[in-house]
Order: sequence, then C-alpha cells, then structure tokens
Amino acid sequence: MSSLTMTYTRRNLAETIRTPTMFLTVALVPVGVMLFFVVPFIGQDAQAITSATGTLVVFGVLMACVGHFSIVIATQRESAWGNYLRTLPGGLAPQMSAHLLVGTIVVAAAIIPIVLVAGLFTAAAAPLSRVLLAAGALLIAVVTFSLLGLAMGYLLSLRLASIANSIGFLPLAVAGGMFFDRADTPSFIVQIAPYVPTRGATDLVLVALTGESADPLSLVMLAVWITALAGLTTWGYRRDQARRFN
Amino acid sequence: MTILARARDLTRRYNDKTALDGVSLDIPTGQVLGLLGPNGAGKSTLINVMTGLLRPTSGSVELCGGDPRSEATRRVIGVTPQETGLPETWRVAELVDFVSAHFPDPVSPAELLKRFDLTSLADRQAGGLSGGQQRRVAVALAFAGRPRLVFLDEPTTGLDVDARRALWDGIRSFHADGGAVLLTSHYIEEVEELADRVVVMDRGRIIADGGVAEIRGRVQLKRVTLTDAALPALEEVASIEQDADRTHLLTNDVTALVRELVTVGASFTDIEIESASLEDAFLAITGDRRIT
Repeated sequence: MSSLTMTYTRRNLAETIRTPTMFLTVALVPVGVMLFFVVPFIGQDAQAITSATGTLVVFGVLMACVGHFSIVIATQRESAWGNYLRTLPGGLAPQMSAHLLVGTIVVAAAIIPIVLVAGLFTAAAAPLSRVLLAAGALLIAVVTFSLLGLAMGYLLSLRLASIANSIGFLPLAVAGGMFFDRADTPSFIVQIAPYVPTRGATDLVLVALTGESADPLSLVMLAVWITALAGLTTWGYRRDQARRFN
Repeated sequence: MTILARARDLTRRYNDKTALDGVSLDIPTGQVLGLLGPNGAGKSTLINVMTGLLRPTSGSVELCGGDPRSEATRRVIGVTPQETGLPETWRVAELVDFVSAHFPDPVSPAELLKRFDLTSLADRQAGGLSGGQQRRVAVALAFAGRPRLVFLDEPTTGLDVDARRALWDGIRSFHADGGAVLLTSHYIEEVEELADRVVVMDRGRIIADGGVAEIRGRVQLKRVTLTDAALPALEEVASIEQDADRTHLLTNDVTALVRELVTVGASFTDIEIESASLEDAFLAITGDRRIT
C-alpha cells in the first residue's frame, strides 16, 4: 500500500469520526431493526435467526457503504477543497483505495453489533469455517455497495444523493427480497429479485453461511452489477474532471 | 529564457457567455506576473483553465512542457484552494502534512508553517480560523511541493496589513529562489510590490501587458472621493461614480480638479485623494466605466 493511500485513509477516517452523524446512523439503525423486529419473533429459531443475521449484516453493509461513499464523494465534488485535490499529483488510485479501506471500517461498525447480538442473545449458530467463508463473501458485498455509493456520489448532486440515501435503502432491500421469508415472498418480488444487486449479495453470504442453495442467476447478475458500477464510477470520475464547479 | 506556461488562443464559453476570448499568455521561468481586472473579467477562469480544472472551449495550454492535467505537471505547479475551501475539521498541521505527502520533495512542514507565520496555528482546526488565517493557510499549501510555478487567485483578499506583509514575504522568498508566480489581485500596491509584469484583463481579453513601471506610466489617473450631494458638472473629471453618499471622481489632472472644486464651492467633507487602481484607469481609458 502506498504511503499516499495511508495518508488519504487516515484523513478520511479522522473526518468520519469528527463528524459522526452518518457513522452513528449506520452503527445503530441495522442493529436496532434486529433488536426490535427480528429477535423478539425468531430469536430462538436457530435456522431462521442465522439466515436473518446474515441478511441483516448485508443490509448493514448496504447502508454503510452507500451512505458513506455517496455523501463523501458528492460533498467533495461540490466543495472547493475537492476541486483543489484535483490539482495535486497522485491520481485516482490512492483516493479510491482509501475510500474502500475506510468503507470497510464503517462497515465493521455496522455489522459487529449485529453479530454480537446474534451470538449473545439468540440461537443463531454456524461453524467457524462457515463464518469465515461468509466474511469472505461479505467482502464482495462491500465492494459492490461501495461502488454503488461511489457511482451515486459521482453522478448525483449532493442534494440528490442525500434524498436517495433517505428513501433508497428500503426499496432496494425489498426488491431484493431481503425482508421476506423464502416461502412467502410475493411473486412480483421473486421475478425481479435476481436482477437487484441486494439479492445476489445476500445469496452469496447465505450460501457461505448456511450452505443453502442460491439462484445462479442472481450471482451472475451480481458480477454484472460490479462490472457496471465500477465502469460508472470511473466514467463519473472522468466526467467530473471535465466539469465546471465554481 | 524558458517558458513555463504557454496559453494559446484560449476561449471558454459558459452557455452563451464568453468568459475567455482568445487569450494568449507566456510565463517565463522566475517571473511574477500580476493579473488585474474587474470582477468578471475572466481572471479566475483563466487560472482554472491553466491549472487544468476547466477545459477550454478552444485553444491550448502547456505547463512546463506538458498537459496541465498530467502527473508530471502537477508535481511542479502549486495551486491554492478557494477562499472557504479548507475542510473544517482538519488541523492546520494535518492539512500541510496531507498536501506535502503528494509531492516527491516537499518543503518540511515546520519550515512551511514558519515561512507563512502559521506555526502558532498548527494545532487549530481550519474551521475555527478567521478568514484571513484560512487564506494564509491556503496560500501556504500552494508552496508545499517546491513548485516551479504557483497560481495565486486573490491571495490577500480579506487579510489585515500584517498578514498581507507576511504573505508578501513568503511569495518574495519563493521568487528569490527562482520560482514563477501568476497572481491575481484587486490591489495595485500588491502587484507593484511583487510583480515583474502586469497583465490587465477585461471582458475575457487581455487589454494591456507590460512592466509595472510601463503600465503605471500609461496611467496618470487619481481618484478623488468626497461627500457632496450637489456637485455641478466638472470639467476635469474623466468619470464619476456614486457610492451611497460618497462621490468618486476619476481625473487625469488632480491639481486642476481641486482648483475647480474650490471654485464651485464644493464641500470638502472627508475628501480623499488617492492613486486610481489600474482597473479604474483602464476602464476609464476604454470608456467602459461600470457602476458597481
């Protein structure tokens, strides 16, 4: 890792901690959903709560990555400081790597409380090997949603990004079938879910965590999403450089 | 003499407004070039195009022999963030360290802070600094990477006299080491203090270009400001501007104008006589005095 990447990581992290609104939201909302809407109902059903924990962890990752990156990038793009950064040498790579590293830390703040609640207060259980496998799968979810956040940050204004953040998570989660039982998911959702990135990411983590089978289509679509979002992010960054900001 | 920056026929349009209209400009090694002009003349647009932040609609820019956006070019130029642009939660020392980390051979942060008289502010967060202090930090950042060419857009706007002098000293020591500067300013004194050459812009064009003395010599204007609600028509006045209850008279012959004022019995309340700025002068000369 280059020292410039470390520099950006340290700075972004300090910025995140010194203005912690987003950080606290991400750290408290998913675990709050779990405590109030999941644990009281299926907390002692080992199989159900294990899957639900996996799903909520993916939801936490979604909130953390999209919330963090879309706002950070849109703010930076509209600020004089962001303009100034573009006059410095160093290029895209260190900034992007740092964004991914800090994203991982914000993600940890979102998922560690969920995992702790699941482990301490519920019947959720999985062998260590499966947990590690699921952690690997989650990394792919992190990359996917980080790219989604970055693409939003580069393509939307700060205002639009903020609006998308406050209304966007629930539809994305619902369309991906995250909050439904496999057995009684509405057929409309069953139809569209494989094409929504939240479905592929959730499937991947649940396959790793519980060994249940997943729709190959949703996994293929996840790969398509990652490629497309990476392309959009790069394109957005380049387009951003050509625009006028002041 | 090596040319560090070469702009050729730069034009930049925003929708139907032309901000730059065929500007060509060379900056040689070691020159401090002062860019003057009224608001909206195209100074900031020119700087943004030359530093690669804006693409010109047509024309070309070459900095140190390369594209302004190339990695090699960015290592040898210095730019300031705009006035309110520092991230609020960052400490001054953190800002300096951060910017220095981008360059292969940066000035030591302690030395940079000292050169711009910022040592005592090193531990303060940028958001807690006064406007003038923020401005000084922003200017210092342009020098962090030992650039060969620095772009300073209104570096001393809003600074008190001491801070301005401290900044001038920093720019002079850079110049003494052979650095080149493109500087925009509202203050004629500042350009006279620092610049080897003056370029005046108006409406997106360069309307004058020469040494400081040469430009001054072409301009004998003085500005006489007084408070008198009922001035009659005066002969020696090149142009008149009204600003609340103050009247600004621009004249080519201040002695004759004062005699005339005495003759017509004008009120001398709070009268001030000062050298007109180059902006005043050129706008008066081009017959284009806008009421501001």
